[in-house]
Amino acid sequence: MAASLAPVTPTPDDPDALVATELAELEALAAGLPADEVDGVPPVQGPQEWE
Amino acid sequence: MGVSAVDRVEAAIAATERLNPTLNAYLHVDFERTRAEAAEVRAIEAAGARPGPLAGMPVCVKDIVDVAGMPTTAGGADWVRHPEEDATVVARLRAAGAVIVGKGNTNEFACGIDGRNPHKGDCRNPWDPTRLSGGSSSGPAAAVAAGMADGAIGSDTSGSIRVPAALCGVVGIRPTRELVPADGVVALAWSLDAVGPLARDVAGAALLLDVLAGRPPAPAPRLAVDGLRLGVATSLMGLAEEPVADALAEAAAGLRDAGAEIVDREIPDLERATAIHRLVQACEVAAAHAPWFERQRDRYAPEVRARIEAGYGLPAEAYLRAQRHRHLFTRAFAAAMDGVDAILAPASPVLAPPIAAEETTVRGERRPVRGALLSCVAPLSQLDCPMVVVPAGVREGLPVGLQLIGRPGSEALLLRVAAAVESNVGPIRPPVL
Repeated sequence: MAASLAPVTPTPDDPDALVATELAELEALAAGLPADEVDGVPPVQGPQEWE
Repeated sequence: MGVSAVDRVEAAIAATERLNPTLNAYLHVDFERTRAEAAEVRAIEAAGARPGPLAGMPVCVKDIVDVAGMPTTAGGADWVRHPEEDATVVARLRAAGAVIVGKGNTNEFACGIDGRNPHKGDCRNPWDPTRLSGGSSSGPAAAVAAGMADGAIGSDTSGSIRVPAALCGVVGIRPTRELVPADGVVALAWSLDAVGPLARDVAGAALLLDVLAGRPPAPAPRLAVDGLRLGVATSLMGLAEEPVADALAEAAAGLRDAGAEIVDREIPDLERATAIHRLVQACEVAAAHAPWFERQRDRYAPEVRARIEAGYGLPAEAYLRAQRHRHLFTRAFAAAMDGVDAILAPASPVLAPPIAAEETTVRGERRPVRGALLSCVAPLSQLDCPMVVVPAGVREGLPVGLQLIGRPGSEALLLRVAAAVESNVGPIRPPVL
């Protein structure tokens, strides 16, 4: 199954509007990362552990 | 040997004089100094001493990396520093006998994937100057492809070595994170940044990597891939346009013919991985720019300013939650690699788009160029894993790059696979040469 790419969105000329659009996108992405799925997972990592 | 070192440097200078006005790969050159450094290498050789494994190699240094005596602009509008010391990676290059030609173009503060720069001028693709070079290590990739350098230093946070390597038809390595020191390099996102080499062939990239990592050069990668089990990332391959998919399928078939076992492998949660990457990067870029952002916000290109400034609006909890999810994705990717030695994927799903294009067609749908170019590299950039891009062929007059992903510390294995691909494809050169 192919992963989907980001949707096409119009780009406003107003720099402040660009910031607001970017922040809204990031907030939506953050909302899609549930907190309950990472209970007990350390928040900061050093070198990743690979076997 | 001494004459050939000087000849290599003179050839790079001649190519730069001829092509840089069109390609804009270098932002700063100092040929007098470059020639003096080449003469020093020749003098060392003439004295019977060994000038190092990179003797006389002309090198392009991305303009976020400090070179003593040259300005570091990071591709910004007015941002500049004048370093008195080389970055560690540059010092290692010099100690190995390399000669610095100049500072390579970059997206503003390495914050971009297309090679466009409204302040310094866009870098153009040597295969077709009407097309994107890819970025943010745009100048290094274009310079190597066009013979304006034999090697280069770039950096890769979201794909910034891999994408320009693919679009310009050169070899690029995003090393295991922290293998190559990043002091003296303008940071973009500290937990994602990786400094690495670009070169015209696998042997050159491997040699540069050893020097950058501060370790003795290993023998040139051997071609043997028999006995290796390689996984084709089906979901990422499914993103590729037909010419890219065709070249990569041919490369995989060549590896199978050489004795590797090729299997399908699914990398899970790519959409979530992209989200994690964007969140981590946004917060870390904001932190990196905090010392000067308030004073200089209006000097940034609007899109770059938006990416940085939005990071200040996110709560710390969102950053830490994204880092926690990064752990989970790392585990999932490690599980996907169970039983295979490396993963094969596109570096870019499309051939180099036209330089002014805002959108490109991917599998019949119109997509933003930025999103398309990031789609096969950004989700993987949160891993500590090494990734190598090697040219896999030419389609419609433009190069296609194969991305190889391995476990942390497995550069030598990836370079073996890359050398086998290179052997099958043969040398490729842009028409400007």
